[in-house]
Amino acid sequence: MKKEFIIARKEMREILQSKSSLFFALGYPIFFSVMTALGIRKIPGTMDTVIFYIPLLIGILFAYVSTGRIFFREKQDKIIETLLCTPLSLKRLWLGKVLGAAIPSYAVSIFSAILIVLVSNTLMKSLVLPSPILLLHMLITIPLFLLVVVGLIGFLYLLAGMREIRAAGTVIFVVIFGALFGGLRLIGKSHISWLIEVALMIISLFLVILTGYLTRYLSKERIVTTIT
Amino acid sequence: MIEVRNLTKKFGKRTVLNNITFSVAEGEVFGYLGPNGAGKTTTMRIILGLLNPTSGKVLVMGKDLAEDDEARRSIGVALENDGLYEDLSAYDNLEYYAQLYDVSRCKERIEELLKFVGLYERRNEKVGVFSKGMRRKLAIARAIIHDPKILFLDEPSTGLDPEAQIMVRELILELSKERKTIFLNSHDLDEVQRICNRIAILHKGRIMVCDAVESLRKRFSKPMVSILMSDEENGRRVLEVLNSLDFVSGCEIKDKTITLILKEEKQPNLLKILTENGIEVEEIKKVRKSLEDIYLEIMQKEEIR
Ligand SMILES: Nc1ncnc2c1ncn2[C@@H]1O[C@H](COP(=O)(O)OP(=O)(O)O)[C@@H](O)[C@H]1O
Ligand SMILES: [Mg+2]
Repeated sequence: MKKEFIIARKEMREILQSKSSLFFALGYPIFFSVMTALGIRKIPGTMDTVIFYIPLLIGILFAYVSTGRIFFREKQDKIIETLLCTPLSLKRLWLGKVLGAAIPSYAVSIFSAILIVLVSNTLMKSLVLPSPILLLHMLITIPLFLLVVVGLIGFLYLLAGMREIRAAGTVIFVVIFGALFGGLRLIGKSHISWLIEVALMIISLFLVILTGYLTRYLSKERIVTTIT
Repeated sequence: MIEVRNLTKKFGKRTVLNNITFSVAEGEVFGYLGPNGAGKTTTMRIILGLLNPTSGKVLVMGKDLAEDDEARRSIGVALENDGLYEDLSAYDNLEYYAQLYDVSRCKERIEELLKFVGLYERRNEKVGVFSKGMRRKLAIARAIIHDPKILFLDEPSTGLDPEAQIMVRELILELSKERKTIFLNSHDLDEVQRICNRIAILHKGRIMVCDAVESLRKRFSKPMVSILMSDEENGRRVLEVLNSLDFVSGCEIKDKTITLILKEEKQPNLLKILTENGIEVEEIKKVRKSLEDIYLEIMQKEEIR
């Protein structure tokens, strides 16, 4: 795993050195948590639903932006060709990059959850904390979900031609958000039950395994010939 | 060190490399020369394991780089793209690759290389502000960070201004003195003649010539005569006659045309000798082709196409 973390660290370093990424990393959480905290104050008992959706949403948003940087740009710049000549296997390279996008996205996600709790409590007189189910959500489901999002988009970026990528990226984005908002409407304002949480966790675990399985369809020839 | 045997590569129906065979020995600086689109990059990519051959075999130190991850430790590459991150400093770029290759005493090695390519003073600046020439030099430092046995360079001086080209060439010459095996793609005959000790000329996916620079120079600096015979029936006998002449150093026959390589400029009456031996001749003409002429012909054909 050492090499994967070397790659991941390099990716994170680049994210930290890019002003636009930092702006996203701080801007999204602050904007959304203040907005939703105001909502929580008006409608009591919505804390759980907000913590269920908003940090995940922000995490995915950030993951999407980072994946573009980490996978798409390196392919476009052809840097990836040089990396493919190192002793790293293609799969480990992919994993390193996935971690490099997923870890900061998760950090942003946690950051926004903390902000939501802090801001809404500052606005309210009584102390409101999310229920324990949400701890499971934050600690397991969200990181798994982010791995899936980054892994799948990264996989597609490596596999597809540059023109298809631009189209595919938008489609993926719409699908993810469609699914999320669809879910939100379905559950409505009903509180988040263990059943929902565990089901979501199992689904994301399944998707993680599926994504790992898909990587066997990656090939160097495919990557090199889809660069132009 | 590098073995390429009967390599053919097709993209769809298009044959880009057609039955290519050559080998590169240890310590050799091998110039792989050809006009744009000849198939140089494709060949290199196949050797590096980035593309699969349609048929044929490619081995680097006896191994297939596509299959053997560890074997790639002994090669370094500077491809068309420099493989550098613009947002990271020169030092950080080298450090990243040093870590990927498990270079020991990382800091010393990086500093040594930065000095070697003359970028030590600017090690903490982002690569984004570097000129093309500086980037290319850093890319070469990056390629040799793990002290590879073989170095692959894809057109290292292309796209640089003349001054930077000279610097990069000097750098490569420096490396060749360290007995590194170097595989160099280039479209510039002059560059290749200066740096390399062996050359292959590639044209439309076929190797036209492959020889040591010295013997190529000899081969193409001798006067040659081309003879067009009336008929091609007695080819064997004609060769015998010609080879027995003491001013002839070599002789090739193809259909009705014989190409003679002469030992010196002046030759006795060739026409008389031939007719005396009962060989009917339609035409005799002097030809003189230097390596430059041959390469120029190839390049011009390319432009017309
Ligand atoms: N992925 C590809 N798909 C189809 N044709 C390709 C591909 N890569 C290269 N070619 C073709 O192969 C030929 C050789 O290309 P290349 O090896 O890049 O030449 P060189 O490096 O000598 O300029 C060119 O005509 C190019 O168009
Ligand atoms: Mg090329």
